[in-house]
Amino acid sequence: MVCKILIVEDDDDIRETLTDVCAGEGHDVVGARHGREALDLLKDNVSGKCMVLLDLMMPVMDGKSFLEAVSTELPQRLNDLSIVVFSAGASISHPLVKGFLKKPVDLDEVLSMVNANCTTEA
Amino acid sequence: MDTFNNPEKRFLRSPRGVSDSLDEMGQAFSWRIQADTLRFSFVSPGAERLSGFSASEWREEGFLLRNVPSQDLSQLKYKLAQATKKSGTVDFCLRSFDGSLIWLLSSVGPGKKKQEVQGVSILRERSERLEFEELKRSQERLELILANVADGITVIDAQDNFLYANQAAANMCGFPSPEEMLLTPAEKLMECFELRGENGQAFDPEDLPGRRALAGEKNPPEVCVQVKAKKTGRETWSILSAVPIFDDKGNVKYVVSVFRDFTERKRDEETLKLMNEAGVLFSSSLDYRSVLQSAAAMIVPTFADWCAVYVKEVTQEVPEAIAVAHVNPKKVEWARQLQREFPPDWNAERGVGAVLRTGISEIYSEIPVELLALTAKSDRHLSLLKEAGMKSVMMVPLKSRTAIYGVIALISAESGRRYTKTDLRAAEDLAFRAGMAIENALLYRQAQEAIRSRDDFLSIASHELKTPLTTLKLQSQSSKRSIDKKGYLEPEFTIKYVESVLRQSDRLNRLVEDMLDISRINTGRLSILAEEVPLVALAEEMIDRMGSQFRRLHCEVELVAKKEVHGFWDRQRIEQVLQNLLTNAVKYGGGKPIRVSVEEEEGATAVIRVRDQGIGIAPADQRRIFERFERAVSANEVSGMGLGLFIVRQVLELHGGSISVNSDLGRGAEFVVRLPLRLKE
Repeated sequence: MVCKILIVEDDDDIRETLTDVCAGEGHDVVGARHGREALDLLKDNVSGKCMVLLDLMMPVMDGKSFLEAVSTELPQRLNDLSIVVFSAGASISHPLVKGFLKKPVDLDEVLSMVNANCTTEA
Repeated sequence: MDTFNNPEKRFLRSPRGVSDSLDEMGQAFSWRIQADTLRFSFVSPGAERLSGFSASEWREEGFLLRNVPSQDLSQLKYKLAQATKKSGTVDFCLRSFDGSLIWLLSSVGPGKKKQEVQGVSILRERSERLEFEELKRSQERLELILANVADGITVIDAQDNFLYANQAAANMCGFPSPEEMLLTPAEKLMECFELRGENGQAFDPEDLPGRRALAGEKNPPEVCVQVKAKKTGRETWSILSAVPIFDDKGNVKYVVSVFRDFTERKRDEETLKLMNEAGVLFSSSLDYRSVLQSAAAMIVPTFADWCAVYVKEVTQEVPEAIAVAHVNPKKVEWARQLQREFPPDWNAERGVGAVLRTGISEIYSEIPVELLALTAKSDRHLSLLKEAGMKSVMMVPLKSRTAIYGVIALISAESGRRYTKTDLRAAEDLAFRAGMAIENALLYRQAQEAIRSRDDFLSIASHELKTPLTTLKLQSQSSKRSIDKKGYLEPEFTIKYVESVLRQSDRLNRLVEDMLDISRINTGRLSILAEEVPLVALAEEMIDRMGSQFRRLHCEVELVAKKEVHGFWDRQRIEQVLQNLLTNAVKYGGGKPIRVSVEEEEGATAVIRVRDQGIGIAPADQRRIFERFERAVSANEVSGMGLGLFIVRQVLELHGGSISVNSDLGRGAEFVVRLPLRLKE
């Protein structure tokens, strides 16, 4: 199964590594450095069903603000999105959040989370 | 006619009357004297017998001057002069022939000739004279004591008339002298005052000990009452006691009352009570604002009619009126209005501003109009100040042992109270307790903030440490997965992997170094090892070393320097400063070009400027960013521990240098470092 995955993470190394690993598994991966960039991608470039791996601590727009912005700015896309939070701290409770991965995250956990939440065939 | 109606004169005129009989008995003699020359013209034979002096000696010039003691002589001369016109008596001592003193009681009256006085003298026992004098002296002593005791003492008779009052009693009752008080009936006197008991309720005058003693009560209990003079409004506290004195039949003959002025003691008691309450209040809460408001409310009206509390925290430009209190809420609003319209002059030489600056109290026991005029900012202000009716003012600093936090102003108005040095000491004591309460509250707040900062730091530190660990773990697992799948790792993947591992270990190392630096700063162990450093070359090397980081973020860095700048610094620490500033410029620079310049200023200082064109820093945040665990953006927004600029500042200060920032939101930031070329000894 091939998924469309949006990785929202400000740390370049983590974002690039996750992109490489998920792409290596054959998924269709795109990265964003913060919530605002991710929102713009969802509006213009990434259509259809999509899994979002979301960091919480980020510049410009953090994870929590991204969740709020998605709800208000892209209500028509809510059914398309499957959001998983990954953070060094605690998770947040939000109706859009489907899962949580704690940093330092295990690759197998990431991949099984991707498989569990992958709703789209690219 | 006159002579016959006056028995004394009749007696003197009778040639062979009682005087002759007495003369014959040897106990009396008659005489005539010129009052102007004090020379006897006649003495009867008794004089010779009683004194031992012959009649001719009596008639000698200066006889009286020689033989009457000086203390009696002046009175005798005066009485004799009076006796030329009017009859009277005079008693005096005479030194007899053998030197002993005899005491003569004499009746005197005008003689037949001009300036002549005739008299009859009877011998009195000397012991009687001594007794009489002792009685007189004792009465004088008693008078003196009663006049000077601090307690008021009065005596009334059974008909409620004043028989005696001392000066203190007169003063307490508002009379200039005891004589004037004695002219006022006791019941009239009571109408001049309002009495209140210790419970604040009206006190029935019939319950006063004096009234109860007059009604026959033997030991009426003493009472403590507040006495308000209706005429002047002056309020005093008195302890009153009284004893009845009975006649033979057991009826009240006199009542002796004693009033003790208790005002000062009562005030001291109330002040002490206030201090205790304040002590409890100040230790009850760490919210010093609400504590000071309660304190102001407590001070009014016991200690002041008005109370205002001003506090200036380090972050405040102008002190803030935390509390204004008066028993009447309408007046509080009026005072607040007055403060808004005419705020205090904090730079004035006297008043709250001066007390706040110097920490020295001010007291104005009386407030003359001239003083108000000096304070007033306009005619309207002056008329408002007059309207407040201030009588006396004290301003005391709210200070602890280490700092001055504000001022408490205590004002007496309608109570008419005049503040004394004792009041000032009490107010200073109260303000000191409040100052300590503020200090405790601020220390508590600092401690709380330190705990919060530490918790933030731990949370940020763990996040920061987990970021490189996450990368390392993911890449290692990914490599293993690849090897498991293919049996080998592709060369380009291997290079990428190794580069990333190196980058993450550098990052971890930096984080650990930062934490160690913080620990060194906290314990004062951050030291510098100075050597000659070419600053431009060092900046070039740093930019070069960080090249891959700049390239990855597509960020251009330009170095501008006219010539090399040499100085004596700790090379590694200056590298750390440059690396921090460059990392920040890249992190917050939004990928736009960064400009670094190095120059020498006035041959003494090296100036490094690092300018980015990124998100910038709001002026309000600019001071904060150099503090520990602080950054302009929230922890949720940008990674990094917020230690960088704090360490940079500490390192620079250790070199005798400084760091500042010029920036605004959305307009990029320019960090300016100034470093003396040589360390000060």
